[in-house]
Amino acid sequence: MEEADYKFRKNTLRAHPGSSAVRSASREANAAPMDGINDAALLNLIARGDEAAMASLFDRYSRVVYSVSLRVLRDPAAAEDVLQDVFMQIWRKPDAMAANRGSMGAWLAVVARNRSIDTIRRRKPTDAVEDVVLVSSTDIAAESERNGLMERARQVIALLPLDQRKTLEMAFFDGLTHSEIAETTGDPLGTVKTRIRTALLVLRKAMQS
Amino acid sequence: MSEPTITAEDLTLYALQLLEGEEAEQVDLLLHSSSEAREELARIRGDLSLFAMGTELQAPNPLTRQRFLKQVARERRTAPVTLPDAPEQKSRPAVPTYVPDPLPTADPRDLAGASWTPSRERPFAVDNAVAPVAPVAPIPAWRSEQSVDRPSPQRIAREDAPARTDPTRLEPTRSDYGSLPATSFPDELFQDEDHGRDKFVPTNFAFTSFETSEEKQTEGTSRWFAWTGWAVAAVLAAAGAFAVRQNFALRRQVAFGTERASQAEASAARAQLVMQTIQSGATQRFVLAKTDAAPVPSGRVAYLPERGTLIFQGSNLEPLAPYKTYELWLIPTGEGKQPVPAGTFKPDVRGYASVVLPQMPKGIVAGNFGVTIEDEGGASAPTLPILLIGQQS
Repeated sequence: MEEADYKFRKNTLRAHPGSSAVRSASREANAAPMDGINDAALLNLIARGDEAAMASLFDRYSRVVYSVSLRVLRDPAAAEDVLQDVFMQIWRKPDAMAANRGSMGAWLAVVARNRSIDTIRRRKPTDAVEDVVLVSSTDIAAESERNGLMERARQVIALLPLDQRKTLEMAFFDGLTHSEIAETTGDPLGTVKTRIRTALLVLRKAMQS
Repeated sequence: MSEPTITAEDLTLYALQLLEGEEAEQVDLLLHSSSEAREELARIRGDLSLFAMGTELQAPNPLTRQRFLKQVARERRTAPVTLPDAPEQKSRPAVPTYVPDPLPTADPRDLAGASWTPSRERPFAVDNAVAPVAPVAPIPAWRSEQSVDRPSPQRIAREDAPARTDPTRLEPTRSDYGSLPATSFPDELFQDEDHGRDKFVPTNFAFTSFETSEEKQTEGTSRWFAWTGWAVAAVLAAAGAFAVRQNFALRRQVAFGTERASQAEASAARAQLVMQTIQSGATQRFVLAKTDAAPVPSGRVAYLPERGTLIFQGSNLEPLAPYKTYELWLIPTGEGKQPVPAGTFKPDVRGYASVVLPQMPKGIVAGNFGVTIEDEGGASAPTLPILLIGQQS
């Protein structure tokens, strides 16, 4: 029943003829055209209380945040809550999200995942968002770059050895600990840890090349 | 005992938030001291973001965006005060140096602005009773000249001698300032400076026929005294305005503090009631069980790992021998972890006992709890047998 609800909702969103119109109208009402502005400048405007800049940042990255949360939580309503929570953190503490966090999109993807795992475990957020520092050479501010990077990431992930990919998925999207993964798969604990690490290194190398 | 070794694999698990308790604490310690570890952690998070990017994109419900923007509007912030390089100030005459002039600073708004520091981290606007204005220090000269069309002491000091001897040019008199608000320049200030005020009365003689070197010196001193009056007035006005502003701020703080205090008081009263209900000897306790079940010793534990807070309530406990005590143990998750003492207790005559908020380390995830009998004062390790063992509900 839960699965059916999920599909129904997802299909409704995709097929609804009015959804894009609603979004466009809403954008016109709330956001100035800021497509050419980079993330750091947007954050600067947000720090000045610019709501249009906040709306623009939301439009830029809400799909990434929502998709990652949905993949973890498998519940659109819960994923939307995480989406709201993550972006409200930016609105409340824009200075904490200063440009030294690396790529905004990459940072948001990790924060969205961590918040979603916290939701699954019904615990308070373990990391303050401003403590999540990452290094990423990718800049996905532009939609074309974002789509290109995501497509490439999907291709590289698909090429990972199956056991590595499955293990990383269990750890990243399901939030299973290495012990739980070892218990589930029957693999030694050390093997699980090595697979997760190796998969990420392969991904890093492939994306850099 | 050797130092624990933390590998890149451990850092990866940490980045995935899969480490807990002692393992996470060890990584925290390492990160605190090792920049290399911090950098690697940042790289791993970058890798994780790439993995996240492999997710198939889904669009959230459009209503989510509206809901978000409404929330943003509810938590609206004011834009920070325009910085000195803002366009509206650029268009005005640029003055490279600031000429201190007491007259413009008599404007209370300017004075209020003197204590305000522009900051991008400025909090929400609701607590600002005074409209933010530019800091006093960079007041441009155009503003001084526009607002007060009379010479300042500094300007007079810069006047050259021929100009001062010009009989058509009159020095300012007190009447020149008659239109200024009395609150800004109280009469008392003038009365205290009588001799200085007299020197402002224009007379050609003073500058031509009877001017001697001594008189020049006296005149300079008097002029100085006269303008000292203005300076004092300005300073007092500044202090007054500042005091008013501080008064507003203090009132807000007091109101806020009072509200917080009343909330805390209510919260503390409620917490005290809870404690009394749990701990009081007059508390009536009932354990519900199957109607035909014989009473058996039992205990209930409520434990919050992240805070290290615990409440235990035992019932139907058997009396203890002298110099013995019951002791509660937290048995951590993971193999080889030693039980952690979680408080000692003795039952009352009805077999009830409680342990409320014992000294506990934070962050230990409990696998189970157990109760043993120990010597008076408790033990550092449990003595078998375990009389009560938990089952997580």
